[in-house]
Amino acid sequence: MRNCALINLLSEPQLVESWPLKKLELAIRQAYRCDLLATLAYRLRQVGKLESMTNESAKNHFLSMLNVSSSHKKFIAWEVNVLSQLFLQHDKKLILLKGAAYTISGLPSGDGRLYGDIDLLINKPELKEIESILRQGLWLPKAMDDYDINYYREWSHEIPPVYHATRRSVLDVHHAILPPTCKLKPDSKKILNNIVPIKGWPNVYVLSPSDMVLHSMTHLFHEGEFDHGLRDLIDIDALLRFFNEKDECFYDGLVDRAKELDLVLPLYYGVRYCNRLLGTPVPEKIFNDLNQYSPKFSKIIDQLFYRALLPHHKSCDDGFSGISRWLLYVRSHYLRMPVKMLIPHLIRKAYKERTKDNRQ
Amino acid sequence: MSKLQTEAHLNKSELGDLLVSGCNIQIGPFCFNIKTSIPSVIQNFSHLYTDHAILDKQAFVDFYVSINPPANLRRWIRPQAVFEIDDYRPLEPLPLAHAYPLFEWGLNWCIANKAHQYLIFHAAILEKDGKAILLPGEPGSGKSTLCTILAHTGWSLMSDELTLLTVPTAEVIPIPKPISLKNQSISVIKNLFPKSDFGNVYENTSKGTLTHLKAPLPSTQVAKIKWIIFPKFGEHAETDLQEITKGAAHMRLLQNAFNHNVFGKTGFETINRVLDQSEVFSFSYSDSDTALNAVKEITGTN
Repeated sequence: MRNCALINLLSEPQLVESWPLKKLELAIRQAYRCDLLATLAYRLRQVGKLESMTNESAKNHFLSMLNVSSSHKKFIAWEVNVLSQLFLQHDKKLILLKGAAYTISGLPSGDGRLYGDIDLLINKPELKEIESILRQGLWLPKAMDDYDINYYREWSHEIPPVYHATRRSVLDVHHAILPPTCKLKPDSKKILNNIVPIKGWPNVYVLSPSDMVLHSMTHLFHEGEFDHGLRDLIDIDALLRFFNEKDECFYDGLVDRAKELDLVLPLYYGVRYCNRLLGTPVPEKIFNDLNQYSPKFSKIIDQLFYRALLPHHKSCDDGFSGISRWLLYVRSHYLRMPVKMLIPHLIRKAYKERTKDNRQ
Repeated sequence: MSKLQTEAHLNKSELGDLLVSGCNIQIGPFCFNIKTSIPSVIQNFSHLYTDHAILDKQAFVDFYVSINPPANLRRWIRPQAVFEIDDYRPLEPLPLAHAYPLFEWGLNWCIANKAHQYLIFHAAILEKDGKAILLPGEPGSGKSTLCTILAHTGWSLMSDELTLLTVPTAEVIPIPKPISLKNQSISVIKNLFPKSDFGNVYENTSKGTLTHLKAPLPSTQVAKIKWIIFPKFGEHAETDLQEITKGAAHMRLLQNAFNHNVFGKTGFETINRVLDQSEVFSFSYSDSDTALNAVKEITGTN
């Protein structure tokens, strides 16, 4: 596995003073690429090494991103407040997923997290009703062609993203955690039954600790694109460390819950790569328990993920990085839909990309 | 910040060689590693940036930027130029003939999108003895024209497009780059200052005809804003100079601030601090002499 400056510094921020300037510069470049610069800045500040940084230029990059990150945090809290009011009027629960959930519930994964969209989970039978509530709140569907709309409606676990008419913020509304065509079949009802309220909010909920971790892992290891792979892995690492510290039986419960939800495979990957790339502490017996679920060709799959999860920066790439990412992209679609659908879908996507390029 | 260090400058052909392999150039508070193999970019850059220091290889680089032909058919057929920051493409490729304007826009993109340690205004700014005059304005407002005229009459150019303000101390950091001139303003300025250092002229860009001008007096010191003028140029405009209220000025400054949302309350307070120390005017004018006289009157300078 390659040595990655960014991962080294995220793991041991207190060592920054002993780093040569050019190595710090490299970590900053890698961090920009995978949206981890604010996270790195937080960690440096936590160990008291940011304000004392002697190179003003390097320090400014961190301060710049800390400004951005605190504005994102304010934006998320504000937007969640608006949504919470809207849902409250209709007596609905607002269930947050991923980044918004980490930030609003004050988890360490929220420190320095940047946001594109806000992710919500809803109860599928209420889909029509929720869509109408969102429309009343001026959340409107994005323009897209019929194929894409159909794709979302038939084959996805999300509805087409909606954006706010005046503020342009975007919501991803999930009604399940995996597409219906997927080989793994987690039961959304079981997940919805275990949600936990966030203190201080009347109707805002997040997934239970185990489900939050499993969802994060499932999302990452079913993803086709790994531009944010390392960031997502860092999220999972922070969640695992935090919950494990609070509850010493956390891992046992996690494995049981994964079996119950048919999510053992994402758990296997999540624990494995968190531990190998980020040194997340995992009890030995959990590894032993999970190893029986290791996939076929696990050595090859390791090689693909090691590459895809590093920052997509030329300093981390080798001759196999491109093909690794491509194979994982195809794999994600293979996991998501039957082959007879997969091939036309990928051809169509490739064609669309190509025509987009040519227009430029 | 202290004065920018100015080192021995290289001659143009040496700079060309350096640019091909990547050269560290100080632009305001930033160090750009600039890499290009496009002859027209090398030629224009070497002409316009001779006042900028070249930093050694071990310097901390803020932005790795490059402008080169793409690695596909568009290298040969209807050739294009691609601007990248560390292999990421923030802007659409443009025809090779417009490589240099794309390069300048790319540099601005880096600053406007990455330097959120500063509150950034879309405004020209010049200073005399550390006292600065801020010229915010929409495209077509005549801000570049007025800025260029002032830059030739004893004012040091801090920036013609991006004003960098420290938060919350409201000090302006100089980032002098070539002034970009568009359309009619090119002939106006060429008539007024025929001996100035103009770069190549680019026709039919997305902003019309474009050229760049090396600032005669690039600023090297931080400054405090003392005067704000919202210019409005019109060929037949009546001269009208009006002091405007701080409230109205605040709203107009917000419209010109790229990233006030990043700062929220501290940004708001920083703008207030600027307004507390400044006189603010809106100014419509139709010719440069009137403009110059008005600035003299407002600032009490010659």
